[in-house]
Amino acid sequence: MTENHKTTRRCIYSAVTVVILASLLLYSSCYAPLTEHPRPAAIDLHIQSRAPGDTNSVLAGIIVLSEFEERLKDITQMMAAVGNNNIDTSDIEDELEEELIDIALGGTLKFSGNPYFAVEVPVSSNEAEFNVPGIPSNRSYFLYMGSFGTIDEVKQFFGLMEEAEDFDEDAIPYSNVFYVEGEESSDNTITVPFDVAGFDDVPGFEINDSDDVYSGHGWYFLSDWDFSGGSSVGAQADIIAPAQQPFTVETGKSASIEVHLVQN
Amino acid sequence: MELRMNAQKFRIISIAVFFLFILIYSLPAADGVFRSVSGKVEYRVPGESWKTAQVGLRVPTGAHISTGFNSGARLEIESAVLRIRSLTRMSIDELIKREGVISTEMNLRVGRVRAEVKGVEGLRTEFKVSSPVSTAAVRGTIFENDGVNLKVFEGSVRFTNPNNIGGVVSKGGTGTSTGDGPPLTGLASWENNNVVTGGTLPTQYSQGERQLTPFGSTTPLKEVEYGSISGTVSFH
Repeated sequence: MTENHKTTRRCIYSAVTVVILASLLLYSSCYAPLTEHPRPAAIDLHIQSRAPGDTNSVLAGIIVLSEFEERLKDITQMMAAVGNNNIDTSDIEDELEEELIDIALGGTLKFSGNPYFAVEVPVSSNEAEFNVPGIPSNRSYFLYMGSFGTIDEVKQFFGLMEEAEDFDEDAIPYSNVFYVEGEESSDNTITVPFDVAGFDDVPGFEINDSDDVYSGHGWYFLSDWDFSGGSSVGAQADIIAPAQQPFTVETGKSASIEVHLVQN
Repeated sequence: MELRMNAQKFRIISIAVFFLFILIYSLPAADGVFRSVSGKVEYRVPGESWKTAQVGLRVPTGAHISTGFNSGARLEIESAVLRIRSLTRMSIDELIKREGVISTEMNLRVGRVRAEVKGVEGLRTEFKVSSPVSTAAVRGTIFENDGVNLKVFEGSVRFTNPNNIGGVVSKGGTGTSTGDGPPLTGLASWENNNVVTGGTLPTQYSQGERQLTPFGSTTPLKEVEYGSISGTVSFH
């Protein structure tokens, strides 16, 4: 597999953390061309286009039933692993594909038949507030989100619209929610082995806790994966915050959650 | 006398069943042919293992077809062309060409297909794409279906739920069926549906929970209870 090919794959997979299942629908359709959206200056080149200062952004998310927690652990590990250009990940990709389809079929809330919701929100100072009504209550969920410039981008990402040539999936901020477990070493690092059954010798994950956020095993928001350590190191990322997931939605109440989006 | 009548009746039924068998098994089965393949496309004939699909390869009734990430295929079946999108799992359940009729039935487990069904003079085309929650049946049209959502580009499509309740979606129209009620259809509502909220549970988690309204009744079996999710997004 060429470097370019793998890079493309990595872009797709990591962006699609957002879309754990959306990959399911990552194919072209046949509609209108991409609507141009403003790309004002902001934090950096990537975030500028999707999280512009004081403008609107379309947040799209996937809600996964908490019953799928163990499978999510595997899926998120595999998604991180396939982004590693230093190892052969073709077998992992095959397994990941099957897992994604299974969870898409049986583990996500459907919104008008689609496995994602989308809300347009104003963004100010790199923050946005959102509200998603109509969630079946007395259940617990995981939430994966991404931020898009326009609803057309969401449709392209989920395969409901022909992809425009300049549509850059790599530029989509996404929530990198990952299960971290293990002892923190004196240099504030937690080593998480690659633990998907059937795969040996796949390098694990080095999680850095420089802000002293880690409080024991659980789901955390991480920075984007860094694969520059070579084949023996595997993937590295920093802990941003506890994910507070899975969370429970109660009848007539709003479950409050903070989401951190990162970018390649 | 009565005994003779019964024997005669039995003989007639036996002969009818015999000819029915002959008729069924003598129907010529057609094949599908891969006209283009990109990426990882595999097929499996019943009783065999998965094999890589190639251009020009013929697949018979009963074949399962699978496409991977960034993959797709174009399958020609008599008067229909099926564009199979990536991450699709489907099977050809029926592919029969008999006098005056071409009958094709696809089962779409997951993924998306775009079907172009052309009318052939002197032949009646019956083309169906079924999923666990919907069936799209066409005669001379172009449509795209992912098992839940339907969009019709040309002609018209009969779009029904598993209880065969539904309606006709015409050119430019769309339909959505989640299987627990009549499909929702409308003109280009998909395009206008810019903001989508309000979720439903996957079927296996929703027994007795989803708002099921029996047909002919306005009383739901049970009200679904809802909450919401709200929060803050921070861009790093």
